[in-house]
Amino acid sequence: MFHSEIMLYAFAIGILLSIAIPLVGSTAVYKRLSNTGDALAHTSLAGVAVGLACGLSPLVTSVIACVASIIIIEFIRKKFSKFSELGTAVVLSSGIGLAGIMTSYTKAANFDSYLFGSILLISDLELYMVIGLFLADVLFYAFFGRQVFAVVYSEEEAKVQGIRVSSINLAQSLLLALTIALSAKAIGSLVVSSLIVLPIASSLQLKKNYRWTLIWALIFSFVSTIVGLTASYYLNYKPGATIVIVATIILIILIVVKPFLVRIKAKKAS
Amino acid sequence: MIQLKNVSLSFQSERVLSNVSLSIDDGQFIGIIGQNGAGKTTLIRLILGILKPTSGQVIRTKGNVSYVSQTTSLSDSSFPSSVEEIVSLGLAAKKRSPFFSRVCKTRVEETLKAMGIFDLRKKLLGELSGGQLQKVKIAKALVSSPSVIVLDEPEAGMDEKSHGKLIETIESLHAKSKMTVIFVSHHKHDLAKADRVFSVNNGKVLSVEGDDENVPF
Repeated sequence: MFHSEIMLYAFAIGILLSIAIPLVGSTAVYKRLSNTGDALAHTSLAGVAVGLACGLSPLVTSVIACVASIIIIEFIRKKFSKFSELGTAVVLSSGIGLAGIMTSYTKAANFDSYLFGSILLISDLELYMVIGLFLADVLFYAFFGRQVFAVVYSEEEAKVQGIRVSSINLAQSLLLALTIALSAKAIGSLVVSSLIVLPIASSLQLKKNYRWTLIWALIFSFVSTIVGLTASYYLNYKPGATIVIVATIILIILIVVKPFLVRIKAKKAS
Repeated sequence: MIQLKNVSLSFQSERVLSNVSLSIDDGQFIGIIGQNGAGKTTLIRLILGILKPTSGQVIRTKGNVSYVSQTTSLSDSSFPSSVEEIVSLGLAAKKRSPFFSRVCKTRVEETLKAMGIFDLRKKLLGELSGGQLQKVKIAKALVSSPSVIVLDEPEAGMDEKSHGKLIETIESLHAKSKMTVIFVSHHKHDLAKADRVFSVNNGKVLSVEGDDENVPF
């Protein structure tokens, strides 16, 4: 499998995204904004369709669409704080609508490769952009992770403490938008949001503290990517879709095994 | 020192607080009392700088301020976090390093011990009682050694026994430190040891005596 340079590229990009996606996605899940990923993913599709239709780089138009969407979502979230999910719904439905219309002007084959991704067709530029994104995500969470955690816990208390809540939220949202836009080609717009939610959903089953919940989410995401890519190579399945199915299987196993784990823990404690 | 000079606040066309003037000296224990929806939380949000007044002036001398809000933005029990992680968040504003220094760890441990919750440090929030959760929130506020601590109805949802213990903890905290304590409560008897009590009613703030029988709580 690793004799092929294409597969080496696929694994490199897959591993980087398997760390970057849950890292930025976990806070969206804790803020009960899991659907934001979905909305951004659909808008990224609209961006891709616009790019293909207008002869522009789909990557660039997808990044622009995602960044614009997250700004709109944050604006609506602030404006209608009691209906914070409203922005996500508005962006998601307009994203689908726009993507649907713009596909009338694109070649179906080109557009389809963004639905489920084509990790085997990643260019050098796309690989470098993913490396840059990975570094930005890791450095941001290494240096501002504690402040992000404080903002997730309580925005008001964080503000009184002197944390720049708006800047933290903006940086986080931009990283989420960029991560989704850059993952669209590799993993696929339709499945990238699953990778935001599934690893965290699995790690929440383990009932660990904040740090270990994140570490386990990264482990589950990494394992799903490695197993998914390997399986897709031998079974000739779409890589992005296979990764998501493996992540779902991990979650189902954990949900089934959880009651037994709880019993064993209780026995040990008694 | 905290001073409010002729402060008014309106949301859209509705006036929530009207022409409020008050002064709080360093080290005082201040009680704020009033019915639901009277504007108590709005008043402390103005004091804390979370809200800006429509007119008037809020003056606060420099110093470290901590806030124990009525609710966090999440349901505490479902949040995957341990007691020591939440308490260490109180130092988050000062820390921009991937590593938590020994000094910070020691400070967190000292605060946990002072609040009598050191043994709970590894427990998850979902495993705590209502009273223990409130102690964790207060420990988070205290870990940064603030000069002012603002507590917004920390007794909400607690049983009578835990409520009594919490009030004792807050009173002894004030007695031992030189901290300014601003305590918002529904119950007049919680504020028995307060230096001053402000009653919030219909957007007006009045300074009242703690044992004033006209205060309807």
